[in-house]
Amino acid sequence: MVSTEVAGQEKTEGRLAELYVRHAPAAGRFAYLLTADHQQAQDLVQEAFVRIVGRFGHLRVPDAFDAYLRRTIVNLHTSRLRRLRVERAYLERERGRVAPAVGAMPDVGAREELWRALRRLPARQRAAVVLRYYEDLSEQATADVLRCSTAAVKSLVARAMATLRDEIGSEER
Amino acid sequence: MNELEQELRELLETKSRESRIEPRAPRKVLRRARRRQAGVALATAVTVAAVVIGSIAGLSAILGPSPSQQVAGGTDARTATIAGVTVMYPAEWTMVDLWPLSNSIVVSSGPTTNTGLTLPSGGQVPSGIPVFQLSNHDLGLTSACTGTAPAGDQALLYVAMNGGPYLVNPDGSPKWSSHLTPGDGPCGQGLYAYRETTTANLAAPYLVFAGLGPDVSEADRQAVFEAFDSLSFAWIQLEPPAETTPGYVLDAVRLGGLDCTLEGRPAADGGLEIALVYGRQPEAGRIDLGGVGRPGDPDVQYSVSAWSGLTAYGGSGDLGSVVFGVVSERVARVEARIPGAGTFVGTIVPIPSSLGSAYRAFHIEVFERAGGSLVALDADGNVIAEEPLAPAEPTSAPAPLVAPEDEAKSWLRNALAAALTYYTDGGTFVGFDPKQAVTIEPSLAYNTSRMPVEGEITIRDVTDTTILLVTQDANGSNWCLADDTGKNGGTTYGGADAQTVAECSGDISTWG
Repeated sequence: MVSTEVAGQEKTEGRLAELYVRHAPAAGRFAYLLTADHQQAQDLVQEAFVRIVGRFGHLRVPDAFDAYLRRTIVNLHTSRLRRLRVERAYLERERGRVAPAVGAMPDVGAREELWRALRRLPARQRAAVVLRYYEDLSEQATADVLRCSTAAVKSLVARAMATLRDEIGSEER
Repeated sequence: MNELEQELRELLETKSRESRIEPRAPRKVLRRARRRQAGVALATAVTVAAVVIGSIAGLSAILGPSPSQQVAGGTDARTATIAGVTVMYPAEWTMVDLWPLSNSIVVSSGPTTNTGLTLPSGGQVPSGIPVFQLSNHDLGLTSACTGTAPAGDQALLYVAMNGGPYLVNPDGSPKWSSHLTPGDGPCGQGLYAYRETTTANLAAPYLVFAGLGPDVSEADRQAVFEAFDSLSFAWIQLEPPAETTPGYVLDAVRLGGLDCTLEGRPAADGGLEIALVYGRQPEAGRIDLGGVGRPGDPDVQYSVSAWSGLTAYGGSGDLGSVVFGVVSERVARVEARIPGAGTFVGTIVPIPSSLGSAYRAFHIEVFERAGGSLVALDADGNVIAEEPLAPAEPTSAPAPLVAPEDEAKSWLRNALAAALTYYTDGGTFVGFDPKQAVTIEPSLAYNTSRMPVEGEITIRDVTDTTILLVTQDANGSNWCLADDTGKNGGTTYGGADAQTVAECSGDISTWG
């Protein structure tokens, strides 16, 4: 009986592993853009995967696994930030001080500046930006992920872009 | 598309390619996913749809994120919560729960920490009430904040509540910034930071010290900063524990979604004391297994937690249980075999050699209450010992330590923190309803009732800039908390079933 049970468990895990391989890489890229941290991104994807898989049989539209995964990642990320209130500035400075200099490309400075500005955005603004400009989701689809109105999405993106412009001094461009 | 949008798209595309997520799912993730699926399927079969939703939420808590993770570089990381302070750190580092030292520090009168604790007046505790210390070497079970900075290649992160004259300037302003800043203080030369709990309105102060020896490695230096970076401070009512001996944190354990630590310390009657401690209420939520792991003791010695109904601590209902204890050197694997539920494999963790025991600790998170057996196997899979695992009796829920009215006020503060989070995101309170609230602060229950409900937060009088929150404590007393983000606004308090913000307009003294 135990061996039958174990075989069943392995079969289930094999199926889940396939599901993970199919969806995790894209979800990982999305999570990384939200977190800017490889490990956090991986943790988010794994946690979201576990949560979504539990409900998978009950999803009204199982094909929408990616969308559910994105939504769960956003929620987990927002929740995590809320709890940790991470203050990264010091660490960044420290890393900058102790890390060996990176061979600079001509446009690396400006791009990194934009990346840093993006990382400083509030979680939901950042999620909205990533969903709109990386995932290329419509305002409605973005609103579905963020569980807000399309007006709120417009507002989030507009405020985010204004902040980014301010922070990187795009008026000079 | 303007230039910024184009640049943003290119940046996101480029950065996304830097993602280094492991394409294959770790075994642990697959196991959790399978268990969750099985749990959901079972729930579906036996309950109506509404109950299913509740069951998933319950399982979500039980199968919550494992405290053990991987950090960059492939190093195992552990997330532990001690006396409300949460930190993530390399699993091979030594973490010591110093909170028991508070037993000999707090007094009945003097400056308060806003968490129910009072310190001797006159700055007699410059190093504060120690919460924990984290180090790359075993520095023993005493506080390392002695005024002498770490030596050699030692790396240390020390967290304490308050910190006497070293925490604030004469004008009351924090002496250190919220970031680690070089300086001299009660722990010697090093890096200091001032931190607070993050709950609105009440601030409990914390002192953080990072000490780095002159020969510390870059990896350990980074580990200290990353641990500091991960710190979070929860506002909770605290009491000193009954015991006075700090303990090694052997592992972090999840019990029904609650953050617990498995700790080891010398037992008063010889051998080891192994304790399962709830990190957010360390006095009430602890189960001890004392006098184990001595030479000649059985191969397996264990205890079973069975907390349930910990609503006061953020969980609810049946939380499952944790089997924990020690195993001898002969044991390579320990399992809880529960008929009809399967086999739950335990985690075996080393015990610091300074405790002088050849035994190791273990814990098994069990999501079922049925009885079964605890089985210890050797490296060849042979059964060394088998113990009956009695059905856990869910009767040992720790009694809340907080007074009902304090508990209710804490709910309101946490609910307001959630509302302000919502406001920060959207620039308005409008839309902050029970559905939104629970996504932000899931440990509370919400409603929009006209009558206050015991144990729940009633959301009322919501406008762009104002919000009113009302609750009823276990004694039937009503409490309100309102916030106005307008120019002349602020937070106001009341001890009534207020229907409007204006009816909840007292200052903090209204709450007594």
